Amino acid sequence: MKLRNLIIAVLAIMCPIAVLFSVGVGAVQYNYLEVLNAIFDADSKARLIIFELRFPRTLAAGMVGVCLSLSGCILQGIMRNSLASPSTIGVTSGASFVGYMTLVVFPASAHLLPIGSIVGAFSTTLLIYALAYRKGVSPVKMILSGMAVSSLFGAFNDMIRTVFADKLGDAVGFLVGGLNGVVWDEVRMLLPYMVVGILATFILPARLNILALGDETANSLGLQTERFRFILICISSLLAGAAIAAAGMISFVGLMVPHLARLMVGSDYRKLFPASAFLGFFVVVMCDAIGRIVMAPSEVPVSVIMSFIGAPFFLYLLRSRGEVKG
Amino acid sequence: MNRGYFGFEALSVRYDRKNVLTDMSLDIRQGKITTLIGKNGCGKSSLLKTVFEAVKPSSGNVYYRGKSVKSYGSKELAKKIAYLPQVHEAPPDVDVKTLVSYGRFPFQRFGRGLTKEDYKIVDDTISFTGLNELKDRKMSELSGGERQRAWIAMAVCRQPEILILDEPTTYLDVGHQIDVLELVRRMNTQMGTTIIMVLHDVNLAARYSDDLYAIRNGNICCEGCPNEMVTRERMKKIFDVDAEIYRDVTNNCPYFIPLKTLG
Repeated sequence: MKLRNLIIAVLAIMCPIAVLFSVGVGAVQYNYLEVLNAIFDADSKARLIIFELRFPRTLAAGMVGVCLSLSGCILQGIMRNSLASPSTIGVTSGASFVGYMTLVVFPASAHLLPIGSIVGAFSTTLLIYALAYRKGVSPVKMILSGMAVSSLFGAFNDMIRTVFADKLGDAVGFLVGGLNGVVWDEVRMLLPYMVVGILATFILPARLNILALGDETANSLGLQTERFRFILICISSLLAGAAIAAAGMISFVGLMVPHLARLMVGSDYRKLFPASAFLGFFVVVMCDAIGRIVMAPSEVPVSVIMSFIGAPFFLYLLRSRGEVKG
Repeated sequence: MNRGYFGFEALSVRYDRKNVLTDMSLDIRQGKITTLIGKNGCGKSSLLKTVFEAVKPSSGNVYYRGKSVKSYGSKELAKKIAYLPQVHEAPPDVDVKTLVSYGRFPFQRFGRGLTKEDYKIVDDTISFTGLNELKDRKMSELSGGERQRAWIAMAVCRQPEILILDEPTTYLDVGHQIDVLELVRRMNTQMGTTIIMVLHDVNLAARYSDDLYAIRNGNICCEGCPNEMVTRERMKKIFDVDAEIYRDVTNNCPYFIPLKTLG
C-alpha cells in the first residue's frame, strides 16, 4: 500500500525532470539553468528555441502520453481484457481516418482536425461496441471486430495517403506519428479537449474497480454496467481522439503504459490511473526527446522510438514477471 | 396476488426460445433460510439471476416490500439485497480487505471515497467472517474455501436485509462447505438476514434451511420444511432417484442416501 504510493510519487517527480531534459536537447544543447531561465524570463536569448518551439512540443508530447495511457486503461477496463488499447480495437485507425477526411475536405481548416479525430474515435468505439454487443459486450468479439475495423480503416488511410498526397503535405506529424512542428497554436487548440478528458477520468476509478468484478456482481452492487460502459467509451474517445490529432498514430503507448503501470502498482484503478498518467507523460516526452537526438539533425518520429524501446522492454517485463492478467 | 416481503410473481424466463421458468410464483418468508433445490438446468439459478436482471424475465415481477424491484434505484436495491453469483471474477492481485470494502460501494456518495464508518464496518465484517488473518493476502493466494468466505464477506459488508447465494458451496471440500453454511446461518440468527440460496447437496439444504423449494420443469414441483421434503416419495419426484431416508439426530434433521436413478 505504502510502496504503491511511493512508486506513484516517484513517477510524478520524473515528469518535470523529463520536461527539463527534453527541452534542453536538440540541435542546440542547453543545461537546466538555461532552460529554466528561458521559460521564466521572456527576454533571455534562448527564449525562442526553448519557450516557443521545444516547450510547447514537449508539453504536447506529455499530454499525448497521459491521454493515450488513460484511454488504454479505460478500454482495458471496459473489456476486462489487457489486450485492449486504442490501437488494438481500431480506435486509432478510425480516428485517423476521420482526421484524414477532415484534412482532405477542409484543407484550410486545420483546427477541425481534433474534432474530426475525436468524432472518429467515438464512432469507431461505438461501432465496435455495436458489433460486439449481444446481451452484454463479449470481450473476444470486441477485440476481433476491432481488428477487422482497424484493417479496413488502415486500408482507407493508405488510399487517402496515396490519392490525396498533395493535400496532406502539411500534416506530416499527424501522418507518421510525430510531434514535429507542434507549437503553441496546436497546444492551445488541443489542450482544452485533453484537460476535459483527463478531469473526467477522476470519477472513474472506484467504478472501474467494481466493473472488474464482473457484470453480475457489479450490477448487484448497484452499478449500471451498460450505462457506465457508454460513459467510459465517451471519455476514452475524447482522450484518444485529442491525442491522435496531436501526434498521429502512436500505437504502443495505450497498450504498454497501462501494462507497465499495472506491473508496478497493481490493478486497483485508484492507483493505476495516476501511475499510468505519469508514466505515459514521462515515456512519450522521453521518446520524443530521444527521437531528436539519435539521428540529429534529422528527426525520428516519436512513434518509431516508442516501438524500438517499448516493444523489447515490454517483452522482457512480460517474461520476467510471468502472466499478466487484465 | 398479495405481495409479501420478497418473492417472485408469475415469473417467466425464456432463453434462446426455450422456456426456463414458466409463470412461477414464490413467496420468501422474512428472516428465514430458504433453499432452492432441483436437477441441473431446472432454472433455479436463473430465478436468482432475475433479481438484478442478469437474466431478464419475459414476464412477471420480482418484488421486495410490496413493490417491484424495478421501482427501486439500483444502488437503493443493492443496499438492501446482496447477491453472490456462482462464478466470481476478481483481479488476482486484489487483497481480501479491499475486496470486502467493495461491498460498501452502494453506500458511497458520488465522487467520495469510503468514510471512517465504512472502514469500521469493513473491519467488523472481517472479524465476523473470521478473515482477520487473511485480510492482507491477495485473492490469488487463497484456497477456494477462503476465497468464497471473502466473497461472502463482501456481501455481509453491505449489511443486507436479504442475502442471495447461488451455489455457495460448489467446488468446496466438505469442511469448507460447513464453514460457509455456518457463516450464513450466523448471519441469519445474529443479524436477522433473510437467506435465499441454491444448493445441490440436499442433505446440507435440509440441515441448514427453514424452507425448501424444489424446482422442476420451470416451476415449483413441491415445497415445505426439510422434514416434509426429504422423503422417499419427494426425492423420487424431484430428482428421479430412489432413496433411503434416515434421521440425523445430532442436527435434528432428515438425511438421505440415494440408491439408484429411476428412468
